[in-house]
Amino acid sequence: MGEYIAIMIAAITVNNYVLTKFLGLCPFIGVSKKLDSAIGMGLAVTFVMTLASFATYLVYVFILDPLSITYLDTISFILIIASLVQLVEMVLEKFSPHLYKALGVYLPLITTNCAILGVAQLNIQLVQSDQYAFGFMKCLMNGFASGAGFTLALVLMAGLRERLEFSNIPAVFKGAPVTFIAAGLMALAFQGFDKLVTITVN
Amino acid sequence: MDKEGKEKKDSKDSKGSKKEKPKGPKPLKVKKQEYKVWDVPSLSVTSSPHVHNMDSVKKVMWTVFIALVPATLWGIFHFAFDFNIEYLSGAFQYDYKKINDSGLGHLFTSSPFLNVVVSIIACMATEAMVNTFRKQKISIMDGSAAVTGILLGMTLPPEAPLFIPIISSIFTISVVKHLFGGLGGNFLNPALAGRVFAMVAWPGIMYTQDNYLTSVADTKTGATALEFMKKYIASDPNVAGGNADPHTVYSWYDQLIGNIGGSIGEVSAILLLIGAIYLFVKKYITWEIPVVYIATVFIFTFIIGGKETYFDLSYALYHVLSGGLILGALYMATDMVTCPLTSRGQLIFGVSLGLLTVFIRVYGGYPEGVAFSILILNLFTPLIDRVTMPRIFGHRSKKGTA
Repeated sequence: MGEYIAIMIAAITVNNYVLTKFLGLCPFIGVSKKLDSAIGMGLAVTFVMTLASFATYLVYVFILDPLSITYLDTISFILIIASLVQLVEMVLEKFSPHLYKALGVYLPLITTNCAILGVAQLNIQLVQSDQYAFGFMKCLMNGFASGAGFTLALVLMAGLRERLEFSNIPAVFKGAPVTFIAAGLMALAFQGFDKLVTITVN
Repeated sequence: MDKEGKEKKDSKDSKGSKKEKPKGPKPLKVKKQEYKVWDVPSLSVTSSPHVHNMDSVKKVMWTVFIALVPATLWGIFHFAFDFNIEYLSGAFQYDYKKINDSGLGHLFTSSPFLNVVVSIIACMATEAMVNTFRKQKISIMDGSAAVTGILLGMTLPPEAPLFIPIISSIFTISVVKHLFGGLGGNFLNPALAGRVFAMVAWPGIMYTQDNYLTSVADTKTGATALEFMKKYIASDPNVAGGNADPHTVYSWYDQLIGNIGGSIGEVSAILLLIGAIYLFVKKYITWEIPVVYIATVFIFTFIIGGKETYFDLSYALYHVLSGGLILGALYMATDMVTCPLTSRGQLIFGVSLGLLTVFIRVYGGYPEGVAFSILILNLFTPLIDRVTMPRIFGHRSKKGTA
């Protein structure tokens, strides 16, 4: 149980995908204008990250590894994630229109989110390195917690941007530039979580 | 009732209909007469606020500045002359040799003094420069840059080379403050952002890893009290001062007065408290954040305890009195711009700050967690404000909104 909590804390704070690995910046900048849409996007990413961890683990362990074609992992993961998202979208539309509406346009957008591929890759690396006895459940946990970390960063940024809307920002910095600088300052603050929990692969 | 009302209405109508066209501007005349009757010619109708207390940004900022001066002076004297006050006897202790050799002039060339002064000057100069670039009125006399400067200088180690205050000041005033709209627009506390910037950029200088405490008198090059404790808890064999218990080296009295190592302005807890009481009496800071923050740290460290013990009172006192907790809780967490607005929000803010500080201090990679936890919670401030917003009168919660 303690290991799962450690994975959770590490993925949300220490190894936050946006603020320490700088992955998934396009939705981070694009969808953080309003809090409501940020929460929607965060939920969608969390959902897909968990599913992607699930699918890529199975594909890696039962197809790529036995056939010793693990060098194809990146390209196969891209395919898996893209098709998975499309499939999930269709299934959701039929079976849970409410959730489908809530996730809205964010679901197809996520297909191209590099943070998802990053989570899949990191999971596989952790499985390979054999350091923390990374199995199926821990991969799922890592995927879910990484999504939660992404949501946290997105929600924080949305709060800040709603506040920044009313401040007297120099004209050249308005919009994306000031958001990137704010993201840099957020990353500076998140440095404080350094070494709180260490789960890294090198 | 009805009859009277009707009669009145009738009378009014009849009057109105009779005298409507020829005497249009009569109501104005009536108003003028009313003014004369009630004798309130200066009554002006404006929107709120109706009550002013004559506090301006300038006054508040310079008051905060003055409140910070005693603790800073203590830090400068303490680190420049090894100035201490002994327990019980209250006798002053200082380095006679330094004063005899170079007199008090040594003070003005000493590193702690220069660090504080340079960071104040650099902050004000950057402020003036940015004002010029942005074609604004030069706003250095409102004191906000000076307060940022003195706070930044207070958080620096006494032997820091002078490029650190200069670069940190430029970074903090131009990027953290003015890029987001100047005073009131910054979402992080500027002084702390500068401090953390320096800490991340030059960790070797900001934490003197090599020079561990050798004697109580030699506090200048010694490790900060918290670093000492962290190494002691971790049983690190590289501690040069031996495996002495930090509790015996630094008594609670030393920590309260400020006979310890640390950053320039954070060592003297008592002077910081006196300054804060002055600000509290002036109502420039509220009690919620500092009290809740310090209490949370105290209770949490009391429960987890020090080396292999739980419920360790001296360990809790050590955590409260040493390090930047008092300075951060009283002067930085209470920054009007970056702390939550409502009382409920400030309580949440304080408790989270306390928990995060202890987490970073005890389990994290840095010995000090105050700066980071205040910055992290500053990021949460807009969300806390949103959640704890007082409800508007007549508000009804809607179902189905996210």
